[in-house]
Amino acid sequence: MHQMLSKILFNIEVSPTYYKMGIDCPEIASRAAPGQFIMVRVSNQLDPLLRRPFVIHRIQRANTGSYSQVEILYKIVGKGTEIMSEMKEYDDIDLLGPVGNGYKIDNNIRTAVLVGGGIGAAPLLSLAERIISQCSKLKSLILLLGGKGRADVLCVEEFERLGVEVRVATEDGSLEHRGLVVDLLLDYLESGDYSPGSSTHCFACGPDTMLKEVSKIIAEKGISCQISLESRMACAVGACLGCVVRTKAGGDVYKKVCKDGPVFDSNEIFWDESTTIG
Amino acid sequence: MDLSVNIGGIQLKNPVMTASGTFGYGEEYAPYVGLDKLGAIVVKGISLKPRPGNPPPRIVETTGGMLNSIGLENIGVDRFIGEKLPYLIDSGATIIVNIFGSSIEEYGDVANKLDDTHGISGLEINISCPNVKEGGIIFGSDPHMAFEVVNFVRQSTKLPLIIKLSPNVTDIAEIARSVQDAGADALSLINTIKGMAIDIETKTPKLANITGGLSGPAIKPIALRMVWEVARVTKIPVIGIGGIMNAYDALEFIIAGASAIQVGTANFVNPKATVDILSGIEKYLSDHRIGDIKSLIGTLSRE
Ligand SMILES: Cc1cc2nc3c(=O)[nH]c(=O)nc-3n(C[C@H](O)[C@H](O)[C@H](O)COP(=O)(O)OP(=O)(O)OC[C@H]3O[C@@H](n4cnc5c(N)ncnc54)[C@H](O)[C@@H]3O)c2cc1C
Ligand SMILES: Cc1cc2nc3c(=O)[nH]c(=O)nc-3n(C[C@H](O)[C@H](O)[C@H](O)COP(=O)(O)O)c2cc1C
Ligand code: FES
Repeated sequence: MHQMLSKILFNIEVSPTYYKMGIDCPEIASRAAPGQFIMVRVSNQLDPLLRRPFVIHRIQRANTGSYSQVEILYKIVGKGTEIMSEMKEYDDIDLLGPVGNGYKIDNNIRTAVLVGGGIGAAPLLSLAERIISQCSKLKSLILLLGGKGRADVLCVEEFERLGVEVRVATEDGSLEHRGLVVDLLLDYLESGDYSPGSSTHCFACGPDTMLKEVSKIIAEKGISCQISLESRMACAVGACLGCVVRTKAGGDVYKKVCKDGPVFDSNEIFWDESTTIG
Repeated sequence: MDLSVNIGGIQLKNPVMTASGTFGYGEEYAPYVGLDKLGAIVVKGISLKPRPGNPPPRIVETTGGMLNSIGLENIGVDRFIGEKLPYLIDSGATIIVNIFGSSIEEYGDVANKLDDTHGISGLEINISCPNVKEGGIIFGSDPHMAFEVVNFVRQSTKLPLIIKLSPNVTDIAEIARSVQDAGADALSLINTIKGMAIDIETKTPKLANITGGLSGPAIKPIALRMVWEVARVTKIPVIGIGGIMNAYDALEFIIAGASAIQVGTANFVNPKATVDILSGIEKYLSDHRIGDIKSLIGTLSRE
């Protein structure tokens, strides 16, 4: 993991309150894997104090052909992300990364089902790119994307450009299916368009309530599922023990989202009211 | 330039230490900091048996600080000695082990186990954690209890003893004198200040434990005042802790009477905070033509 000052390449609003930031940081880009994250120091003042975690949205090659840029996709939810949204091209940004364990991608995947809720789409783009380049037996790559409304459904075009089949659910019905992304998952599993067994893998990122449901549904079908968790963090190096999530006993009760995750096997997690940040 | 200080028998190459619970077992920060470059590494609080800690959420940011209710999660003294200590010894660091117990006997048992262990320079006795009932605060808030626990630990080990004091008391100087009388070699202060934060939408506490300990720049003025109050009335060295983010903060504590300082929350913001603070102190000394840091300790003047 590295700490560095990097240059912002762009910082644009992609949908109301959602921004995409490109950062020039070969140290992170050359080592990063889908699912890993970076810690951003949003200000050099003492408030906001702590770094903010953001998952790597995309790992990009520069003209030179080497991986040298990372992109993050973020939503304004508080003072830190508000400050970030005002950052400009060529500004310096203080980063720590890449942090954590990314997705484990089995080369023999035939069917991959990605499930994203709102900003949870962020890590799935670099994941889709990696699955496509790494899994030669891949038959079907499908993305189920949910959001409150049309503005919360992100990156559909980027996924489609990769050849991913995208199905969308919005709670207010402003785009495609009215309802939850979990409905799409149930439909998909019902349709039986996948080969049950070890060649089908599910990857999910989104709010805890969604992850909890997805984990339950997937477990019933015996499909392996990796989920990307959020939790409040201070150090991101495994030192403060602040970011823990409750796991199904057996060994340590709590695991660190920053170091043991943020990607976990869905079977590992013990879901209760206080699993992570609620 | 002489940066070395002696803390109750522990010789430190410089006054910059890490604060317990904010630097893991040292190895977590080794990519950023040469562990042997610091005065000492104080490890996460250790108890006799492993502890799972409190349920999440365990941390929340507040204005200029953070609340934590980790609940003293740790791997227990045996695994610490077996799994974590060898790495620290290899790194060349000066090692101080922070310990706590749920009874006076347990404090003694942990101290005793570490007494027989090679490579440890001293113990820091936490009698001040606000987050668990048995985690020390009951020992740290009453001068008689504080005396008893320190007196007992004193008899369980020959290692130098640093007693870590709680700010959650009416008169910290009284507790300080009492543990000095019980045989403490040095004092460290402050631990976190008990606080809370509420989510006004859900009307629920932001921490699962409801309350937590406040740390970071928000607590610095209180910490500084307490260090000054304690250093005036005790003879043993005092280690200043609380919201130290940079060398200027550290120097304030030293002028107030601290012989050394510990860096906590700042590590989270800047993983190289300790070494940055150390070089800032060196620069100040050279700018002010001070050849020996010891001549700066407790130099607060009233004019
Ligand atoms: C591993 C990981 C990856 C993430 N990736 C993304 C991403 O790609 N895009 C994105 O928009 N968001 C992401 N988040 C959530 C993001 O970190 C928070 O939205 C952000 O920290 C909010 O900061 P703020 O100052 O705007 O909000 P405030 O509410 O003012 O923040 C106050 C404190 O709470 C913490 N906090 C608030 N919300 C969250 C949250 N959901 N998760 C963790 N900590 C939180 C902040 O870090 C800060 O310490 C991720 C979180 C984690 C743990
Ligand atoms: C996440 C966290 C964990 C802590 N754990 C311990 C601990 O195990 N034992 C202890 O004596 N103090 C512990 N502390 C207190 C710190 O060592 C220090 O006294 C306090 O944070 C004030 O310093 P700061 O403002 O520089 O962080 C902890 C503090 C934090 C923030
Ligand atoms: S954020 Fe500190 S241990 Fe994970």
